[in-house]
Amino acid sequence: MENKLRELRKNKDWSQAELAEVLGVSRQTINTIENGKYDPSLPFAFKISKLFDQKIEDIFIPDEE
Amino acid sequence: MGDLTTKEKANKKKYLWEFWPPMIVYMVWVFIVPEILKVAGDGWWTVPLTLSQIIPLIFVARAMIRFIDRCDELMKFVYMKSAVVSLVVIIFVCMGYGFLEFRGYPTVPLFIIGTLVIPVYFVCAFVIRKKLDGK
Repeated sequence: MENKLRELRKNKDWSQAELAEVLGVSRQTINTIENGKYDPSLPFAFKISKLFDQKIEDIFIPDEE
Repeated sequence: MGDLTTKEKANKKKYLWEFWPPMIVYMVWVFIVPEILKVAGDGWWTVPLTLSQIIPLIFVARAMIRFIDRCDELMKFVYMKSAVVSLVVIIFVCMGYGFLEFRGYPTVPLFIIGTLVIPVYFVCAFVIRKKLDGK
């Protein structure tokens, strides 16, 4: 699944560590999500969408079947 | 390790406080019990005394489980996957050596298997984390 997390984070001028601090997760979690290596759980995706004030489907784009 | 978040630092600190006291008790007790057993004879109480070495390890395991419970979802995923992979590795190693024992290799005590799980688990966790980190 692709996502726009890196783009949204950079728009806020945050480092991965800063975003991790705000979301209460590890920096590695942010890094793996940004690189598409890990898809977050639904509650965590909601937390991200709330933080950036965007809809989940505007941040996370599912792969085409 | 230098870029741990506040939550991770607090989690790690709590883990160390929960992990080390029972581990120190274990490391002391594991040397005391054999000395007592040497002079104890064959009393029924030597069985619970021998098994008492496990009690501090239960608290060590509790500290580890509570640490994983406090981790974020990616770390939980890494630790769970490491547990599954290390279990599979240990099963194959045990079965492989079991077949060799039928061929005449010396019998290995069960104690070794329990000890083997720990390094295998940490190697698995390290490899899984590295794989997730790489682009």
